[in-house]
This record gives sequence, structure tokens and C-alpha cells, in this order.
Amino acid sequence: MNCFMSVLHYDSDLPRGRVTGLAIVLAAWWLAFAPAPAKAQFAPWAGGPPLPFLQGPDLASTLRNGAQMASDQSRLTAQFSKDMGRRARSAGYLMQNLWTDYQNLEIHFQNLRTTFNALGELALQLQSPRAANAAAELQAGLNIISEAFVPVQQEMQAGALNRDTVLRMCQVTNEALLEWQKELKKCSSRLGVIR
Amino acid sequence: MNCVIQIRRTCFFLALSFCVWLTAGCATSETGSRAPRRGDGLREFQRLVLDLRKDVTSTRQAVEALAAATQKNSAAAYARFDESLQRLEVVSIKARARVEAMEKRGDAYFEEWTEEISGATDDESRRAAKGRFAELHRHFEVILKDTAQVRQAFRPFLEESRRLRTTLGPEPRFEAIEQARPMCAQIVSEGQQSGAAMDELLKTLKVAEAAVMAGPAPLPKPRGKS
Repeated sequence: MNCFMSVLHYDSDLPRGRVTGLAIVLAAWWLAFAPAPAKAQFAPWAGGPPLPFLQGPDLASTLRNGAQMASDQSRLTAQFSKDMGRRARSAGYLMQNLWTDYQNLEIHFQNLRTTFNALGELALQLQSPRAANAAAELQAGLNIISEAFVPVQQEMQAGALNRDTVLRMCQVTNEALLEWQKELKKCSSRLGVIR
Repeated sequence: MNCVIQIRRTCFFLALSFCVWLTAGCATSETGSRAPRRGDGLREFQRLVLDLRKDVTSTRQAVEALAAATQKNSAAAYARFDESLQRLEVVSIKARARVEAMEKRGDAYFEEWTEEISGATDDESRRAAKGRFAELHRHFEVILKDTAQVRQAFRPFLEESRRLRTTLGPEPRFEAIEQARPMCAQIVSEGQQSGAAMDELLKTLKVAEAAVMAGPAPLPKPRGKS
């Protein structure tokens, strides 16, 4: 930087104010693009498939991306569940509609689990019991929410599906996922996510 | 001259905006979180158990009302039971998840709580705190034992309530509700046991919180398992 300053200083054709201004701009550019100091290294995703969310330049931003994506997916799955319940109430809702909706709901939920599993693995890299406990609680929450699918699965297997069971599953899944999303937001500080 | 002033101004604002951008970047690039306060985890757990306790009471009362329903008000009693059970299913998720994670991870919770309470203390307090580690761990063991009791008592209550709902089906006839009275009595008894287990856990949590808040903080154990 001193080098830049001295070059500009001896360029007598330029007015003094302009020289100072240019020096500031160059200094700012240098600061902006200079190589950043080495940050704590983190293993992005050991061996497995690629991360289901955008990987940032450091662990903090990757955790933030993961938390945001898990939050969006839980909201999306909750909304899908709500819409499915609304459709299932109508008289024209047939078994084939239910089958398609149910499969889509499972896919949404599975995507959420995959995202959260990856987020939980990353949080473990913080090597803090707070983060690991928070991840374990949210994981257990998803396991419990998945119990809401069981009665519908059982009735499907028995070939005696009750509309009321489907409606109940939709309502419980919707409410539970919205609660889970709130909990994820609340736990984000424990998970090591800075907003 | 005007041109020079304008260039200087532009340069100044450019430099200023770079500085702001860089400062903002620095503020968000670290990994970390709000420093936990002493007893946060215990208070949060108490709140979860208290919320669950309220919903268990509400569902138990709804089952009592269903068992005592007459032909005239049986539909309303059933609707109330159905609604309270659905609420219990949703509300209980947080507490159940916490309990399951605590049982699975055991001492990792104690490490989290000691992290909260060890904070920044002076050397003298730290020396004095060493002796308290064992005392606080005893509180933690009691909490784990009571938590297991709550889980054991709550599970049959929730499962039997669900079974009652499945047995009765939507819009049950009064005769079906009458026939389900023994099942209702069983659920009420399980609800009482579940409530009693939660009361015991709440007492234990209060005692532990008092112990954590009083006296010097213990030294955190060296991290091994996370």
C-alpha cells in the first residue's frame, strides 16, 4: 500500500486532493480483495453425497444456509399438508388423489429430514454439547412427527382407509411442523447459527 | 475546481461504503452464538414440562367429562376430548423430543448446563467451584431419573387416549361412549400418574435450579463426548 501512496505522491500532474482520493479508493480495493486470514477449517461433508444446501465460505455461513433451508422446507411441508387436508375434505377426492398426495407429502418430509441430517452433522463439527444436544432434540422432534403417518399407513395396508384418519394426519403434521420450525429458529443460537 | 471537489466527494463515499461493507462482513463471519446464561437449560426444560402438564390435565379432564356424559351432551364431550388430544399430540412433541434426547445423550446435557453456569468467574470462585461439580451432578442424575419416570407414565396415557379415539371413531354414538367407560377410567388414572410424575420432575428441576443459581459456578469438565 505504501508503494501505491508513493507513486501517487510523486505524480505531480495530479491535484493533491485527487491523489488522496485515489489512494483511499485503492486502499479500499486492496482491503476488499486482499486474501482473508485463514479461518477455522471445517470438513464440508465427509464422504457422503453433496450437501443439500448451499455451502458458504465458512462453517457459520453454511450452517446459516442449512438452517434457512430446513426452515423453508418445514414451512413448505406444513403448507402441503394443510392443502392436502383441504383437498381431502372435498367429495370428489378419490383414492388415487390421496395416493399421489400422500407420496408427495412423504417426499417433502423426507427432503426436510435429509436437509436437517446434513445440518445436524455440520453442527457436530462445532464440538459443543449445546449444538449437539439441540440437533438431537430437533432430530427427535422429526422422528415423533413422523409417527403421524403411521395410522394412515396402517389403514392403507389393511385396505380400509378412513377419511377422518387422513384429515387428522394432515392437521397434526401441519401444526407439528410449524411448531418444529419455531423450535428450529429458537434453537438456532444453540446450533451455532448467527442470523 | 468544482470537478476536483466532486471527485473527492465521490472517492470519500466510495471509501466509506467499502469500510461499511467490510465491517458488516466482519460482524457476521464468525461461528458462535449468544452466550448462554446460568440456568437457561433448566428453566427451558421446566417451561416445557409445565406446558405439557397443563395439556395432560386438560385431556384427562376431557376424558372424565366424556365418561360422565349424558346422551344430550355426549357429542360435545367427544368433540372436546378429540380437540384436547390433538392439542396434546402437538404440544407434547417438544417435551418428548427433549426427554428422548436427554435419555439418549445423558451427560452431554450436564456438560451443556455446566457450560451455562461456569461462565466467566474469577480464579478464587473457580477453585471454590471445583467441589460443587459432584453436588450438581447428583442433581442432574435425579433429573434424569425423574425424566425417565415421566416418559414411562406419559406414554401409556397418550397411547390409550389415541386408542380410545380410534375405538370410538368420528361422531360416536352414546352407546359406544357408555361402553368405553372402563377404558376412560383407565386413561384418567394414567393421566393422574403422568401428572404426578411431572409434578415430581418440576420439583426436582426447581431444586436443581436453586442449586445452580446459588454459590460459585463449577469448572467445566474437559470436552470429550459431544
